[in-house]
Formats: sequence, structure tokens, C-alpha cells
Amino acid sequence: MNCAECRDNLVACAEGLLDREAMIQCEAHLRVCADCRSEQQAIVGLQQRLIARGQAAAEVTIVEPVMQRVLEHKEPERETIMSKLLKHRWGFGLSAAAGAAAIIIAIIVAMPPRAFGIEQVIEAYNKIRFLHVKTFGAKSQEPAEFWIKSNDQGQVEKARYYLPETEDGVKLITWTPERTELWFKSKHGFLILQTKRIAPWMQSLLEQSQPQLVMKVLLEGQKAGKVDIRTQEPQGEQKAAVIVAVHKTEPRKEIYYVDRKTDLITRIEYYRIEGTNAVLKSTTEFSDYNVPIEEKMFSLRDELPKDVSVADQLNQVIGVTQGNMTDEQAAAETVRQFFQALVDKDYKKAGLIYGGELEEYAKKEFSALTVAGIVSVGPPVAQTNWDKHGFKVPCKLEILQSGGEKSVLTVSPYVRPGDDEIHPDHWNITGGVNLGETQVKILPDNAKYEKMTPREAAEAFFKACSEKNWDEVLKFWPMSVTDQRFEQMKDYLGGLEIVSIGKPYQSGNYPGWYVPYEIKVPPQEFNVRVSNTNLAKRCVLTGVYDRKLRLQQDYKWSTGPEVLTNNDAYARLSPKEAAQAYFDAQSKLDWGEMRKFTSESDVEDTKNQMEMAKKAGMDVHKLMPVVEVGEATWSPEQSAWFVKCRMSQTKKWNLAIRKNNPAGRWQVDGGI
Amino acid sequence: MNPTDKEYVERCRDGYPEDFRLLVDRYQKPLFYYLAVRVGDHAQAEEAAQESFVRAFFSLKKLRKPESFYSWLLGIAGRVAKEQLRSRERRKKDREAAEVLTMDAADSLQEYPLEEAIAVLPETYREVILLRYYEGLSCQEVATRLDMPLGTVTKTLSRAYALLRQELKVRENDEERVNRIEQT
Repeated sequence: MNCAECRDNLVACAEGLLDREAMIQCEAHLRVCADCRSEQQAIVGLQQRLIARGQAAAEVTIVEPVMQRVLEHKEPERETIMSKLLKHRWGFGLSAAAGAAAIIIAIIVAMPPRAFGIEQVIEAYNKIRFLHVKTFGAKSQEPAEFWIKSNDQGQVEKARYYLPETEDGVKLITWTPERTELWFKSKHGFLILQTKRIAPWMQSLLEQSQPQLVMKVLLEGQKAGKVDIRTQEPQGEQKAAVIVAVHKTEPRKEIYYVDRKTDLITRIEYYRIEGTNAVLKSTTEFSDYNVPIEEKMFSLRDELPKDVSVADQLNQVIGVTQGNMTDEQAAAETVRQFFQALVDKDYKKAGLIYGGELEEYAKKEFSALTVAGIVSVGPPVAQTNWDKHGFKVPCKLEILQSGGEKSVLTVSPYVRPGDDEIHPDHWNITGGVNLGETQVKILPDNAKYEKMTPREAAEAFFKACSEKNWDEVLKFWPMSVTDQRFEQMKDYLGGLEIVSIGKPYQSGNYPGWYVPYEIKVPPQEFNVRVSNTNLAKRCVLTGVYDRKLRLQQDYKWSTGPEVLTNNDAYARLSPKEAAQAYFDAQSKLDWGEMRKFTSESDVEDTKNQMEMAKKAGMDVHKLMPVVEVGEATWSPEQSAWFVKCRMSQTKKWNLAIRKNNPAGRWQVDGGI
Repeated sequence: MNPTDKEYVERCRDGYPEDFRLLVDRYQKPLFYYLAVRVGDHAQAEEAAQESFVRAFFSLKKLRKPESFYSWLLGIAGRVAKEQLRSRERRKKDREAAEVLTMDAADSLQEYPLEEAIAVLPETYREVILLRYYEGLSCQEVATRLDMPLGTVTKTLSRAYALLRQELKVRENDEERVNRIEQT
């Protein structure tokens, strides 16, 4: 055995995995070779250190206490009215703004710009009082817009915000310190409240939108050396100077466009660097600097339709008054009144106690199950880890099932005073009422499910999906029928074909089993938009639409398709042939060929997805959908063809199931 | 191949907090050891490990590189350990006791670069090291768990050792350089 062979075998040797002959040879070589011996000693030394660590930590099991804390903290957080407002109703705008603000704060500059002075830019912004901003996401069809008025100290005074794409549909918000108005245009609801908590969010929007702050941060970061800054003076007729910030430690860059006459920033582009390409992720445009914004823009009252449903937290009392009650009594009484309102189907009252929710929202949220009566309330359990004092109040409710039979449901709402900042002595419910979620109940034929092996359970679950037997599916899937994900799952899995179910295995501390599976998901129909109105005059994909022609994804071309060396051959392809060639290239993972028919960002997204799937051990060739291309139809409105497509796909993954619930039945945790 | 840290982090961010369980499970032991040598006490190390995971969970949105979850977690754990030591020192009125405590912690610092070195290993190597030593699996069991041939496991381990030694060497050199500067 020579040195190379010996070193290849050192680990196997140390682990006692070599066969007798190889072991003898290895040991013989080690006896005569000091270098290899030294290498072996280093490995053994490292192994001993690692073994010692493993032994010291052998008894450590902190998964459950951590998860208890994580989930306990999460539950009330997720359910409070304000967190709903901030995380969901405001979600898109605020999180996008916060993200962008974080990006801005993270910008640190290495090289001072030479030709163009950042100081000039800062100076230019010192007197900004009014601002109009548009933010375009890579995939959004319409920009989010906001209008902001600030005072001499740079603090936001008033704001108006338009969110075209949110979970709640289109929303308009106006904010002043005294009054916040939210118009849920798609849901036909209007909410008025006063809150201080929105102010920091609005301020962050202002800061994100004010290039002044961006530039200050750039200057402050000059010394840290994490980003390269390049500046380009405007050339000839060009109107804008350009500042490019390229991050050294992260795959990101930003481009700032500065107007040469006013020294004001007009646009920021945010890019992600993927390989050698910069993919545009979002754009922010600044306009109407110091163009006064009319006062009526900061209130929605005159714009509302007459029949909009109004929830007024400013002029009406929400929650339950404490009066002479002790905290415990107030907590229990709040919960009792809430559930009595559900028994009476008085969703307006229920909504007011549930943090002042809209009646419509409360009805949607709480009417999934029929509450027939209250069996017991309390005693309240103090939540000592909260900032504000509050209680968890365990309750038992009598529930009327759809078949007429009654069952008892245990819920534990969280109650605390003063979620409505104007009425701090009023108690309201902030979460923990998950009536919509299906409980794991003991079924009449529960024994049949209890006896199943993990493999049988997985097979029964997929079989139910394939037969679209959703009642049966719900026995394995802890999900409410009102949950939007349930509808998505029905669309995705309904009618699937089982290819194989593998041998279940356990991993880590997960209390259930992983069951490997391979399924063919049902064919999905969709359309691609194909256009040849480009310089290269060839058919390329410009978007994906669902079967009802609703836009799913817009393929944005940064420069448009380039003229290929053999462009004529491609220009002769019909829209249908171009779509077919695109899907053929995709199925072969031929990125070069794909690029001839689609935007760079689409190619990069597909590549990334495939790489992730590969890392996760999935067979990417099986994963790649098989697409049949159908007829093409010309759309005069869009000046493009819509090509019908039908996609079928095989999925290979692991289903996570466990049965440590009171009913002892297998429930799917994930892996779909 | 098990799902990657990045996938778990993304699942948590997408509203599946239960998946955080798998990250805790994967890193609880090395994190515990990392903290144990810093705070010098089993119970406090467990407490600090819990606190670190909980803080990490609630800060997941701030994590820019989900694939570097463990490395980021160690950063959080380092801060938690410092806070714990500071609060312990404050509680100790006896000045002498506080000094002893600080020295104990400082003495043990020399051991934790190994955890830091593990954190910067590419995920494939880190996973094999964690399963072999912190989960206590044999090479054959690691091969079964990861559905890879036994030979691949030993080769991965061999490469992981080389990377660890290289990383430790770099850290030792850095430390020596700092010591020299401090002494001059």
C-alpha cells in the first residue's frame, strides 16, 4: 500500500471498517511511514475531541421546551388584532418596506465616489416635505404607492398608502397620529382606529422612501469596506447620473439614478446577483418632490361608497369594561360574553370583543362551527411572560356538528386589557380561538385508522386524494375546510396517481414517520403568452396565465430578446412551435436553448428550483413537468398569442405523519 | 439527503413553525456543547441553548443566508452566553467569586473554535459530522440514514476532518497573531 492508498483508507481504518487484509496492509504502511502516521494521529486526535463532545451532549434534549416556547409565543402574537393589521392586512406594504429599509441600512460603502458628490445629494434632500413613491415588485402587476408629508424634523406627519395586491385584495390606508383609516376596497369594509403602533411603520416607509437617508447611510458606511461604489456622470443628452452600489459580501447590488438638474434621486433598482447575471427584483420610483399633496388625500371619508361596512374603533367602545371586577373576573367575563355572542350568532358583538374586528370578518372567522352552548369558562391562567398582564382562559364549548350530533370542544382564548389604546380599561380577546381549525376527533371507526401502519396511512391518504374523497382526506389532514390551503390542495392533489410508496423511516426527534412516496399529480391546464413584437422578430414567452387567463407570472425582459446568429430559423417558428421548443428545452434542462425563448429571470428561477430539488435528493428529471402544447389564439388587446398548455408532473418526496394525538390517528404534518 | 437548513428555515418563514423542531433537533447538541464550555455549567448551558433557539426562531426573518443558519445561531448563542455570564457576575456580590467565574469561562474558551469550525463546513460535511458524533451513529447507520454508500460516508468524513483541521489551523494562527500583538 502506498501513501495515497493509505490516506484514502485512514478514516475507514480508524472506524474499523476495513477488511482484514486491507487493515494489515494499512497498518504495515503506517509502521514504516512517519508522514502517514502523523496524519493518522491528527485524525484520531480530532475524532477523540468530537467523541468527547458527543458524549458530553448525549443527554441534551431541549426540542420540546424550545418548541413549547416558540409555539406559545407564536399563538397570541399571530392572533392579535394589531398583528393581523400589521402582519397581514398591512403585510405586503410594510414587510416590503421593512425589507427595503433593512437593505438600505445594510449598505456600507468602501470607495468614496469621486466624480459625483454624495454630499450634493444629501444637500438636495434636506428640504423635502412632500413625496410620492411607487414600488414595483418583480412579479407585481401594479405598483404600491404612497404619499407622505413630513415636518421640519423629518418625522412623518401624514401618510396615504395604496396596496393593490394583498391577501385582503385592494387596500387604501391613511394615517395621522390621531386617526388611521383602512379601506378594504375588495372586501367592502372600512375601519377607523387610533394607534401609535403604526407610527414607527410609517416612519420606516418614509425613511425607505427618502433617498436622503440612503445617502447618509452610504456616507456613514464609507469606512467599513463592504460595498463598492461606482458613479457615472451623465453623458451627452443623458438626464441622470448613476450611482452603483455593489455588495462585496452578498449577491446584491443597487443602482441609484440621480437627476442632473435637481440632484434628486428619481429611481432605485434592486438587483440580486445570480451567477454572472444581475436579476432585477424590485424598483422604487420617487416623484413629485415637494409638490404639495392636497389635505383631502389624507382622509378616505369622502371617497367611500355609501354601502361600505364600517367598523369604528375611534368612536365606539370595543371589548368588555373591567369596572369593579378583578383581573381574573374581567378575563373570564370577556371570554364568556364572546362565546355567548357566538351562541347568539351576534358577530358584531363577537368582533368588537375580538379586538374590534369587523362584523364580516368575525363572521367569516368564527362561523365555521356552530357553538350551541358554553359548558365551562376558566379559571383564567395568568400569562406572566407577557409585557402586558393577560390571561389564557380554558373553556369548554358545546359544538353542533353538521350531522346534528353534539361534541365538546376545548379552546383557550388569550385575554388582556387595552388592545384598543383609547380604552385601556377594556378587556378584549387577542387570540387562541381556533374554531375554524379541525380538531383531531375520535371517529366512529377510529380503530381502523389507529391500526394503520405509517405506510398504510400514507397510502390511504394518497388514495383518498386520488379518488377526490375529501372527507377521507380530512381525516388525515388537520385542516379546516375553510382554509384556503385546502382548496389549493384539492386543485393540486385531486385525482393524483400513486406510483410507489416506500419504506417508512424515522429521523431525529420527530415523533412520527417519514414515508417516501412518488406520485403523478393531475394534469394542470394553463396558458403562455407569446409575442414576436421585439427587435429580433421571433416568438418568445412573455407571461404565464392560468386556465381562466388570469396572469400568474409576467416575464420581464430587461433588454428584450437579442438577435441570434441563426435568428432567421427561430423567427420562422410559430407561437405554438416556440412554446413547444421552450418546454422541450426546459425538460432537458438545456438552459442555453431556454434563453432563446424566455427571460433571463425565468431561466435563473428554474435553475435555482432544480438545484434546490437536487440538493434535497429529488430526481430533477422526474420532477420536470411534461407539457403538451395546444392551440394558439391571437389576443388583439394584448397584441400577443395565448398558447394553451397542459402539464403533468411526477413528484417524489417524503410524507411526514404522526399519531401522537388524543385520537391516535395518523395526521399529515407536511411533505406535500 | 435530508432537507437542508435553508429549506427548513424557509418553511418556518412560510408559516410552518413546527418545522423549526427539526432545526432544533439537528443542532441542539453541538450548540449545547458550544455554550457549556462558555458558561461552564450544564444547567445554564441548556437554558442558554433554549434561549438561543427561541431568539433565533423569532429573528428568522432577519436571516439573510438561510443556508448559514447554524453559523448565525452560534452568533446568537455567543451573545446569550455573554449576557448570562454578565448577569451571573452581577448576582455574585463576592468579587472573588466573580473573578474565579470569569477565569473558568476564559479557560474553557480554547475549546469552542471546533464548534465554530463545524459551523462553517459545507452542509453535506457538517451533517455527517453531526450524525456521527453528536447523534452517536455508526458510519453504517449514517449511511442508512442518508441513503448513501458506506464508502461515501467515510470519504465525506475524511474530507470533513481535513476541512476542520484546516479551519482550526487558520483560527489558531489568527489567535497567535492576536496574542503577539497584545504582548508587544
